[in-house]
Amino acid sequence: MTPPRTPPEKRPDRHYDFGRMNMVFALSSLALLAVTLWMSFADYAQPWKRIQSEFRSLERQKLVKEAEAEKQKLNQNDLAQLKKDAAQAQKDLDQHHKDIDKLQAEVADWKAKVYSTDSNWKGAKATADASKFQYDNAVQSGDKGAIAQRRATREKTRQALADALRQRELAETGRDDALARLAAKEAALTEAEKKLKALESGVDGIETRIAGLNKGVDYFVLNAPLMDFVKPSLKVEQVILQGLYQNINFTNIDRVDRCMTCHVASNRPGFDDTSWKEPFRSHPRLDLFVGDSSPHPYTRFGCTICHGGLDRATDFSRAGHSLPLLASNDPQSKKQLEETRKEWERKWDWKPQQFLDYPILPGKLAESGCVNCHAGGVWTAKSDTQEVGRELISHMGCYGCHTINLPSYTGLRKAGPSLMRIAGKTNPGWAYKWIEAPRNFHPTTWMPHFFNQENTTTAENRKRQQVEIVALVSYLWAKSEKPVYDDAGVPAGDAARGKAMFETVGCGGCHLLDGKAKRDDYFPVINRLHGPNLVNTGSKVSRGWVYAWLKNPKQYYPDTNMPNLRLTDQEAADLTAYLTDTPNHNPQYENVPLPAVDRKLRDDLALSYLQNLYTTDRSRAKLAAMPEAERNVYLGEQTIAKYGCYGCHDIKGFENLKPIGTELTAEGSKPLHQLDFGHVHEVPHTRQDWVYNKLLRPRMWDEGKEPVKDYNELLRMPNFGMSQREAQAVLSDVMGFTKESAIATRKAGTDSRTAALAEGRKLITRFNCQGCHLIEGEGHAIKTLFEQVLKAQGQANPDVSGLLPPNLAAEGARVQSAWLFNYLHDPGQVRMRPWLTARMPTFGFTDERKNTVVSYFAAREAQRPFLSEPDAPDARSLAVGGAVFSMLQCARCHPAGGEAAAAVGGSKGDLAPSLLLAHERLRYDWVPSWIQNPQHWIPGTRMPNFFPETKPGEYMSPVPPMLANPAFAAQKQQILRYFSSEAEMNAYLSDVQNVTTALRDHIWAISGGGRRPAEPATEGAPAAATAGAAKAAGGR
Amino acid sequence: MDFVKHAINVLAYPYWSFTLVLIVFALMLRSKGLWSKRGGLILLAAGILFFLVSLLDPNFWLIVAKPDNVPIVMMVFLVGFFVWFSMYKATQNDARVSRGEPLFEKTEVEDRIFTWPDLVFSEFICMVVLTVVMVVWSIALKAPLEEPANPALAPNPSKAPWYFLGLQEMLVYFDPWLAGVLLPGLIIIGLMAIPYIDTNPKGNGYFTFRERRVEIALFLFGWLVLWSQMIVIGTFLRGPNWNFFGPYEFWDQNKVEALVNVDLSEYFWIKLLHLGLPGNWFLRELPGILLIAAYFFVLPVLLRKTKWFRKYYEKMGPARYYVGVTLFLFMMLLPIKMYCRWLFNLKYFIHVQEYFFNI
Repeated sequence: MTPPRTPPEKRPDRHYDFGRMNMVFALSSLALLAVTLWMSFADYAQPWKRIQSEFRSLERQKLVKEAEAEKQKLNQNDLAQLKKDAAQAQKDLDQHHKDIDKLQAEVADWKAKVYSTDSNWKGAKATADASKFQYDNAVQSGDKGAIAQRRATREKTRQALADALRQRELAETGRDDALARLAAKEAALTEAEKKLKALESGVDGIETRIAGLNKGVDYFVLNAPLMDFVKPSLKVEQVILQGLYQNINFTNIDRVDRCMTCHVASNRPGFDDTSWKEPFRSHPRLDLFVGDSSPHPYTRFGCTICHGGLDRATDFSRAGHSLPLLASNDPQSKKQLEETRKEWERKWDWKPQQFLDYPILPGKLAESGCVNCHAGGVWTAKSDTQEVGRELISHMGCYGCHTINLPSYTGLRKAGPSLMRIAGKTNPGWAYKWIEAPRNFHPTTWMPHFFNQENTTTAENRKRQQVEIVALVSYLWAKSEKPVYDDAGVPAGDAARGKAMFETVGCGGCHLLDGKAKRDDYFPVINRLHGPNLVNTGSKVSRGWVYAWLKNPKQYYPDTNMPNLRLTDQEAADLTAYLTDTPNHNPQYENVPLPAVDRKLRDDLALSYLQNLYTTDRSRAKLAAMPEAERNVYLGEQTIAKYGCYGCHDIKGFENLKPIGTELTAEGSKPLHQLDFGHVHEVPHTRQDWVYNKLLRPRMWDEGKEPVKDYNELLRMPNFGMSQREAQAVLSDVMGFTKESAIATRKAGTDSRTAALAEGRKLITRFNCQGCHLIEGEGHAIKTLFEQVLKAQGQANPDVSGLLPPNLAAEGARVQSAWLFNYLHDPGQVRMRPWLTARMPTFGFTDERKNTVVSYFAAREAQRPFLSEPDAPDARSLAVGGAVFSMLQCARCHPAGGEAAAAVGGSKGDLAPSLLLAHERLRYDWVPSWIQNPQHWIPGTRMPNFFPETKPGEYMSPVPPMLANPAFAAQKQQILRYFSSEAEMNAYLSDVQNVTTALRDHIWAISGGGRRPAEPATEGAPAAATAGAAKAAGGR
Repeated sequence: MDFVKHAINVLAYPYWSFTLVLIVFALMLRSKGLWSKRGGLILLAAGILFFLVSLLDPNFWLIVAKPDNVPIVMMVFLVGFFVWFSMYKATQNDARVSRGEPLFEKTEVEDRIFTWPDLVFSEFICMVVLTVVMVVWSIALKAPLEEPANPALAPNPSKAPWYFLGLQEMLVYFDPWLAGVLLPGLIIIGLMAIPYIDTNPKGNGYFTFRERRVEIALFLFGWLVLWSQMIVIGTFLRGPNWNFFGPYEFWDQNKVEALVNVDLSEYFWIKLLHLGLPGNWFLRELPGILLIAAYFFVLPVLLRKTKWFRKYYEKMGPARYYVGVTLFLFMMLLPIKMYCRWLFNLKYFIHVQEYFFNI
């Protein structure tokens, strides 16, 4: 187009005023430029870039500080001296360097030769190969003249090839020789220079890293818009997690976690002191999570499989960060929520993500992720809250009303006691008051409050509840068997002795007797709340019943968890006295008559149930036909069905009913719209807040609905009186009940070993083994009772570790399966640790259960159940074992006979199991390894460590130096007979393996196991060893 | 203010708003002042004022400011503008004609301009400005993405794309085969048939209203009242469970309206004759069948005899007349059914559940 000569606005053939048109065009073009720049900026200025850049600066500051500290560490004087030495050595160095230069020139020369001879050889080889082919060709054609000629050529080329090879080999040898001389020269740098280098390398390393974090020109160029596609230092960090999927309805896609784009330091140690704030902090417990060498490295597990949230998001809101939980009954938590909300809105422009199915779970709830993969093993012992949640659910019996189709909650007994024989145990008046408000009687009970909750407050509803409780009690007593327990048959007992029994024999592992205790005080070790709090037992049950129960719990309830402590009649009578005598009473619960009920309300309620089945007229007729007492029983039956009492208790007539609650198997994936928040608006509409508040205030979603709902439509979930900690623990388990989120191969243990562990763990929870024992690092709950008792006796800081029942950490590796099986069958037959006051009770396990326990311990240590009888040890080993046994004074703690304990002396805490049982109890191959390093098997054991670990996996034997001591001359002499020289003896004894094996052989011999050696029958080394041991034991 | 809002909420309910729209529509067509520049500005100002003041209401804001709904808001103003523009041009032309002046289009046709630079340059500026608007829009409003689609879990409310919301609204009153298949098909066929039915050459190539009052009114009735209005209702006023919500009402998931719909057969046999429903479906539905048959087959003949329609019958001939009237009656079936529903809770005229045939 040619530019117009006259100004366009004056051209008559133009329709528009082009001066103005140009103006508009110019302005709109500028606007286009502006919005294009805006668009580029909006695309470029992602919040995560700001975060990464900020972290870069912060990390640099940190390193600068570290470098300074490192320099401080370098002793300045040393440094100066070393530098002087280095200067002195500089001359040598210069000479070295000259030599090195010369050698390097020589090497280069040789390399050139190698190259040229190699190419000659390659040429010769090609010619030789070709001549071979031509000779073959000539043979094929049969031309004799040609054959001869080709043959000659072939010979010539072959010779040339051999020459070329020789030349090349010579060159190579020369080169290698020169290289070796160069390496030797280079290695011979002066000591001073090396030292100097070593000292400075710490600082140098840090300074190199600092340089890498500088924000120089290159940094800005590489990260500039449009340039940043090449090699930006600010970039999205992502990890693709195969087999861990995001469920997007009917299909699963692998997760692609990008969390580390902002949480830059989460897999690096050193960013965990308080000066580091999110998103720059290290992940807690890098040894367990996220860390590269942990079992859950970031590259394989990412973040969202546990934490939830939108894996691919790189924006604070979109990633699904959720506010902290709100406890609607706690103003403090509301304040905290508001503060966090305001801060997030200010800092991150936070908005709730209503379309995100799985937002990030706040705080510890990430532990619900454990369930995703570990549900098959029942336990996740290393989680802080989720595992407590599982125990709480098991104790509270949530699974009684809510089906939870996970290994942890299937095949369990009902959580509460059987009510089949309730009439023999207590009286209706007590039962009425108990059901009305269980925690008023036993403040720590697991039994929840069904009545007088926040949605049943009107006068009429209160009366209806009274009617219901009376009906419940009437039904239970009408249907119960009526065994008679006579007080007269109970021998006279002494309450004081009973108290001592209670505190020492092991009752306290499962029971409290404390009217002021709160469940929350015992969080998270809830084992002592396993059985009922025995406060006010005298008002609940008769002496006759308690006595009979203590003597044999199974006569009242065959499937009870309560074991038999093998009490003598007197012991049982003493305990009965302690539990039922005057102080342990609450008069308000005695001789209570059942209240008179509002008959009209009772009949209306009964009628409403009848009307579910019959027409109104027939219902009325049926009701009219019922006698007064039967109406209560009828209503009681309906009420039990309504509240689902049979979910936790065995009740006659309710043997095969389905549980009444919502199934919780996929509660953690439940769509939000299926959760009814009612009229409550203060609670954030998230899955976790709904469940959390439901646990804290089970009836709260009925707020404002009591007047408009029918009585039987009101929410029924009972109130467990959970503290916030308890509710959060339960929540962190429940939120893990999700749909599949990992393929089978990415889940933890789906093998038979895990199944054996799972079954065992279920039994351990059910029978509360951890109330007394330490298993998988948890338990010893009874410790608090022992401490309490000793404190009451005036000890300020009692150490009760010697009184505690054994740590079963290595039980599977330690004991023989057959022995354990028999021991479980009747623990009373042998007292392994006679100094312990607590008794291992008889649980009366079936063979199946005993096998479950044995398999559990064996599976823990990957052991096989059966062992062959050990081979007969040689005499030398026995002699050495006997000598070392006495030298190390093993018998000081391990009494040779059970009753010899007292004679040994020393405090109770130093005693150890008698070795007389060793051969039938212990695993033959385990003993040496145990003697070598007891702490490896049972951390914290009092067994001393005789073999110091010099390097990981290497141990030192203390025996040879000990034998040099004249005090052990006798032992030395004993052993020496089996060796040709002292040197040989010392060499033998320096090997820890030999010493521990010998000790084991000796122990086997003294406990009567193993086969005696046929020879040498000289002086009977084992006998001597035993004598030595006895002497050692007796001599102290 | 609350009272005003409440009043608007109540008036927005279809039975009131539809009636009001009908009245306003009739008044609009008769109005002169509205189709002037001043009238247009007042209309625009009123529209913007209503919109801006309403935005102060949180519930209104919640729905209107959803990124998906922003284009529909623009559409309301655009439809208004183009209707006003064509009516404005038509009124101008009508005035010119009555003054004996040439048509506006005629003067325009004589005034020619060059493609380059006038046309291309102005088009180019439009393009730039539009690009600017689109870029700003795309930066300012994020894509309204929701949760992953779940075939087993329909969102509530489940809404068709905005251009189908008129159809979806019809589903409230008719079965899918009618509202989703027959009526939309007839709309397309009807639009295609217009040139063959309406052979009147007046208005070709120029705006006029006076010369084609009935045709324009009919078209605008279908376009504005039955189509555009239903899209607006479907977008802004239909909430969870397809319940109706006033513009300032909160979209409550749990809203329950007492609705029990009754078939014509029940009205006839039970309420009128006090008999039970006949067992034979044909007998049972006979009143409805007769009514619908009369509507489509007797009414056109009767209408032919009226002053209004006789004129058309004579002008168009029987074939065009009957096709046109049938299409017209189909269009009118919708408002008739709507009113029957609102006034009498009428469910179906014909309800043959035995064969899934319902009207």
